[in-house]
Amino acid sequence: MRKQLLFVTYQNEDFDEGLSYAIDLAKAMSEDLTILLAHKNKFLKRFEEIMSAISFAEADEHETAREILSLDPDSPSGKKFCTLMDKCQNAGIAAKVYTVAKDAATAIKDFLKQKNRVDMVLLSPSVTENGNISSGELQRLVRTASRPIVTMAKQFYAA
Amino acid sequence: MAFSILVAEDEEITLNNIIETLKEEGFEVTGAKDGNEAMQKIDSAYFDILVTDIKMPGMSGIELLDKIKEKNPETEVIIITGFGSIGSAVKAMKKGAYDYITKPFDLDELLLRINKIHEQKQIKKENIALKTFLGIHKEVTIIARSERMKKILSVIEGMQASDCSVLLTGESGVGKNLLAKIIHFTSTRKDRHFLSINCATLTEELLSSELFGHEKGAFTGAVTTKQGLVEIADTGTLFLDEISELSPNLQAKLLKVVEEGEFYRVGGTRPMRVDVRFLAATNQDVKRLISDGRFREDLYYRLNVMQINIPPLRERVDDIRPLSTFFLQKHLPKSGKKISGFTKEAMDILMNYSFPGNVRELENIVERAIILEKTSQITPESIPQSIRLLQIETLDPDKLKTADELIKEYAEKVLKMFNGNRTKAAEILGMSRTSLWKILKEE
Repeated sequence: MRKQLLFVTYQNEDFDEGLSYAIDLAKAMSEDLTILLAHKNKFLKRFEEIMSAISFAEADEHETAREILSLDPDSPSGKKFCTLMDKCQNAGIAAKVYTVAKDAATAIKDFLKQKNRVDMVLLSPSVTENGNISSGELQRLVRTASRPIVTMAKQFYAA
Repeated sequence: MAFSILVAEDEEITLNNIIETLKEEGFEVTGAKDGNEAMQKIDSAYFDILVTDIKMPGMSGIELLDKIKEKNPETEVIIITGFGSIGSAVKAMKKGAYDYITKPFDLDELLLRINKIHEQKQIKKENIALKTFLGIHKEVTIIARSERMKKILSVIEGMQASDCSVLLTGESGVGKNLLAKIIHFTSTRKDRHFLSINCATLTEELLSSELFGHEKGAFTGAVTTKQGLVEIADTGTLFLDEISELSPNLQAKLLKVVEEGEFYRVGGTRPMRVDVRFLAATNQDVKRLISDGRFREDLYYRLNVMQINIPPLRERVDDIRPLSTFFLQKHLPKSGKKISGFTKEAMDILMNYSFPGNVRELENIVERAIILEKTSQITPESIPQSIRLLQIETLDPDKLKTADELIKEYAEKVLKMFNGNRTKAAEILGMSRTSLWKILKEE
């Protein structure tokens, strides 16, 4: 059984850049990819959606605001799931996808307990940005994971 | 494992003469006065050659030949025939005997045949080793510009005369396999076999068979007897990669070989003895595996006589540039391109990247860059976009510190700056001497 890279991101998030990196690294290491779709902290996500809806409402785009507020935060996006699998297959990487109704730190901890063949954990930019995972949680994860934890952040260049 | 011969002969004088002559040649020889006694010996030990008289009380030489070929097909049989019984000798040859010799015979004739078999078996063993896995590499190149890698090579140099087991630890892609080869090819066993196996790639049953071999009929599909890597690596080195993936059952079997040099083939009833040097590697925290009950502590201590931890590439940045150049020179010829090196911008990207995949990842990046590059130097555009667009950090448990650890580290730095003057250091840090003392004394 080949070793795995565990790529962690959120459902309903843009994971393109992080996924491309994970695929490149899996190719370089001749390892398979396991993708864990975790849940963002529900409160924060819902708060973000409400704020977005308010912005649209203030701009008189009430239809859009209503759509945002009617989104079910718990349903995984089937379309994105297929895109994700297609990307991996096109790159020649064997991938498995798991969705979990837990926050990222808990999901990773629980997953690593069951699966021994994970070589390293890659956290997508969305996981480490905006306080989605606290530094305390990250530190605990690093200390208990027994494998490298790789974080990604978008590079910003001065104009 | 010494070359072992069983001689079955009911004439005592002939038997003793043969045994004495063969022992003088350095062979391990056992005698039996008849076929039944010979069969008992075969049931309890393995023999490379059986020399048997054709006519013996009880079980004849032909019957003995049938039985030994069924049990150990790889044991070669030399039949001793009497004058006038060539027909029996031919019959024996058809049943698989290697050769025959007629009485009265010169012991040198017998010795000639035995030496021929010995040589053929040695060649066969070497061929198996060469075909099976990595074979014998006479040149192993390592790039070590950083102080940490130089230190490791110095340790390996100091081990040249030693035969001790070594445990190599480090992340995936740091070069554990390469270091294992270097340890072997700088050792006293350098002209012997170096074999390796990844313990994670096979199921327990297949791994057991690969390592320890199996007897014919040991399981479904075992149509012949097979030598395992432990046997083939006799007098050489066996490298076990991802040792932490071994099942408890295989860990127990391996412990016996490491401790006593003895093992049983799968389905076997006779112990085999070998002289093998073991090197092992893992990227896991073995002590944690031991405390979780997933790895044997006694096996760990047997394999860990010497431990070498290979640092990740991000902790030996001095190696990145020479490694990149090495991989460029390695992979360039097959591309047919003329690329002289890296632009400064491209090398800066590599030097600032944390390489979670270590040296293996670097080699892959350079190999891909050669394919994509259209100019005479590797430019940033040939390096994966994901590396250029993202800030990648690899976090180590050793590198993450608590606030208290950071404070203590800083306090120690300040104290050092003032040559141990605690009053001055405390003043600069804005705390009392007592507070400073408490911080510094904490473990």
